[in-house]
Formats: sequence, structure tokens, C-alpha cells
Amino acid sequence: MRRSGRSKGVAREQLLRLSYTAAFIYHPCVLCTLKYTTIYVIIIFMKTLCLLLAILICIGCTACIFTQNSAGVSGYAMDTVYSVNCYGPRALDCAEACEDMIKELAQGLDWYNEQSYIYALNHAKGSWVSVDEATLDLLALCTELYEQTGGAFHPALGGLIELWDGFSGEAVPQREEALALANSCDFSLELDPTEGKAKLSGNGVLALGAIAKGFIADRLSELILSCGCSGVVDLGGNIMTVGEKGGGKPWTVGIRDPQNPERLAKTLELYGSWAVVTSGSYERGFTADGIYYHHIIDPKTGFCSDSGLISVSIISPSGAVADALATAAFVLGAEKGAELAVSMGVSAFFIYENGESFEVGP
Amino acid sequence: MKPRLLDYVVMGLCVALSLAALVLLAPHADTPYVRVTQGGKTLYYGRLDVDADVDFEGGTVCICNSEVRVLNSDCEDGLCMKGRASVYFPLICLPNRLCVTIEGEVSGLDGISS
Repeated sequence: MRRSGRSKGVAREQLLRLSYTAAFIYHPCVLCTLKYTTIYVIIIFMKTLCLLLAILICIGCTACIFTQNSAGVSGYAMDTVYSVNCYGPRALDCAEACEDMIKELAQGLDWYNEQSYIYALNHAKGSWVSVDEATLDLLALCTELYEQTGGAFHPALGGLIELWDGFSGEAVPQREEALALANSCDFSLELDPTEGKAKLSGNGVLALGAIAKGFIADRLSELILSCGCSGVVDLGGNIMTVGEKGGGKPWTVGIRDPQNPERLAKTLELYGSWAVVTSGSYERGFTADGIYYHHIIDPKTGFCSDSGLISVSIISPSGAVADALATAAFVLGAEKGAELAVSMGVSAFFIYENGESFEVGP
Repeated sequence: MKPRLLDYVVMGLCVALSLAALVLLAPHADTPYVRVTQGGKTLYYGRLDVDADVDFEGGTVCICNSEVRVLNSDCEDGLCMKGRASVYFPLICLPNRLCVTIEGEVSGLDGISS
């Protein structure tokens, strides 16, 4: 029978091993014994090393199953807590890019930040100011939504916010004083897209808190998709689902029940990219002399909106639109707010102060 | 070359260790965890069923009997001390930039709008 080359190799190795063993046992020379011992130790060491390497590779690959396709970042910006979870092959890079974008846009849209375009516009005393593309886009959207909501979404209530001392609890203005200021807060903005310039006239002070988070969520959504990922953005309770969840499953987004932390008021199942934004009187405010003052200002009175609602949630493909409409619908109240939502082609979920709720959709 | 008994042992060991890693490294779906962050920095991350007091700049968060509350806070309104955190309801103290969330797959949700 003819033996193959491979079998010959094995036989040779076994023979060599046998001769080493024999030499180790029978050869009287100390040097030879030392030599064979060293060879044996090296062989055992190499084998052990290979075994450990194989085990490490197996465990490493297993760990990769759980780590390579998802990454998240969270932090504090725009006076609130944010988190972004990305899913996809470049999830970590994508999440880090999202965090950089949040910080950059939050700084750029902060009306207290002296380096921001918004600050420059507020202090330009009616003259033209060069702004970047993102700010120009947002200001154009503000103008559009201000008109569509009949002023219920008002992006220039900075003066009133200052009168309320940012709702820190330090100040409760007189109703007459707030009303007078509200009447003087006009929103008069001119844009020159070709030159990249904007001009704010009148007494309004730009404060984009009612739209900035939604706008940033839209930009993050574009970024996540451009990275080839999907994900969920949470900017202080403004939720944006991005892309498909995978496995044919929908994203599941809950709407908080303001009166019962143990349950949700509603659960939504969404396919693709959607913004779910809630404006609620419970979210931010303070109590003074037994009266609770929340942060949603009615632009007509300059005082806390008293529409009988406790929260309004808007579901829209656009985060900025959802953000602005949630505030506007809350200010307008259930009936007019529902009409606005239907006319704008978005779904809305209203909760009254007494806990009753209803929803409308396109 | 015909595999020897030792080769089978090594292969079996690798498979067993991989399976063990699969079980150990997999996220524990039914275990809620508490995360306490201040200014975006995580101060504490631990199981909900393990009692702990977490000090933050301006107060203390207490995890006791699987309940999470802000025990004391130097904020003016004191709103954060009135409730307790749940998977649907994070505790937030804006003056102290504090956020207490209960995490895990227990809620089965991708996000909560509030």
C-alpha cells in the first residue's frame, strides 16, 4: 500500500518525538538532555499559545455579535438631556458624529451665546447679518410656521422669557406687564438666501426653544441615514426614529402619561423616520404662592397658556414641524389645535387636564 | 491528518467557551438598571434591585427596594424630589442638570416622548 506524503510527515514527526523521548531518558549527556527539554518546552508553549489564541478569537467573535452594530451617546445640551442610539455597521462613528453635531448646532442656535447667529441677529438693531445655511433654513421655516399657525408658534418671545426670568421661579410678572410686552413682541424677519443674510426688525427677540430641538433632530436624522445607519434620537423627550428598525419590526414609541408615571398615555408603532414631539405644562415650571406656572407662553397674553390641556403630542415626518406645532396646538387649545393638526397633515394626540384624551390624524 | 482525541477536546472547549460568552455577554433583557447622570456625565450605573445612595453635586439619589427617588436636592423648586423614576418616567432636575433613568429592555420601547 502506498502512503501519502501527509502520512509520511506524520510518521516522521512521531519518529522524531520518539527519538527525543528516548534521548531524554537514555542519553547520559547533560547538554543533550537540556537541549531536548528546551525543545519540548517550546513545543508545549507553542501549543498552549495556539489554544489560548483560538479561545480568545472565539470569545472575541462572540462579543462582536453584540457590539459592532449599535452605539449610543448621551449628554446635556440645550438645557436638557439628549441621547442618540445608532444601529448599523458604522454605528460608533455615526453616534460620535451626531454628538458633535448636537453640540455645534445647540451652540449656534442658543440666543444667549454671544458667538451665535441668533445672538447677532437679536443685537443687530435691524441691520442685515450674515448667517450660515442651517440658521437660514431654520429661520425660513420659522417664518412659514409662524404664518401657518396664525402666530401661535412665535419664535420671537425672548423678551417675555426674560420677563419670566427663564421660568426659574424667581419672577412672576404682573398680567398687565406681560400683556403689554406680548403685544409689542412682533416677529418681522427678512431673509436673503442668495447673500446668506437675515434681518430682524421690530421688538421681537428670537428665542428658538420651541423649534430648535426638532430642527436638530431633522439634521441628525439626515446624518444617521447618510452614515448608512438607522437609529433613535431623543432630545429632551423629542423623539425621532430614523430609518427602518430592521427585521420588519416597527419602532415603538410611548407617550408619557403626565398624571401617572407608571403607565403610558399611548404607544405608537412607527415604520421609518418619524418625529414624536410632546409639549406639556408638566415638563417645566415652578410654584409660587400655591400657583403652578408652566413654561408654555401664550403669545397673545404673555402669560402661561391656559387652554385646558396638559399635553399635546404631534407625530410628523419633520422634527421641526412637530416641535413647533406641538407648542402651537397646546396654546390654541383642543379644538383649534386639532384643526391646525389636520390642516397641516399631521397626527396629534391631546390630553386634557382632567386626564381625558383624544387624537386626530390626516 | 486524522484528528486525534485531543483535537476534539480543544474544539469542544472552544465551542463551550463561545457559548458561555454568548450567555454572559448577552444583554440581560429582564434586568432593569439605574443610570444617574449629571451634566451628561454618568455618576452611577447599577442594578435597580441593588440598594445604593448616589451623591451628586447638590443632593443625593436613593435607590431602595427597587425604587429610585431624589432624596434631597438644593434646587429651588424641589420638583425632582416629588416623584420616583420609572421606566416610563425619568427623574430630571434641570437646575442641577441631573437625570435619573431606569434602563433595560423591560419597557420594550425605543423612546418615550414627554
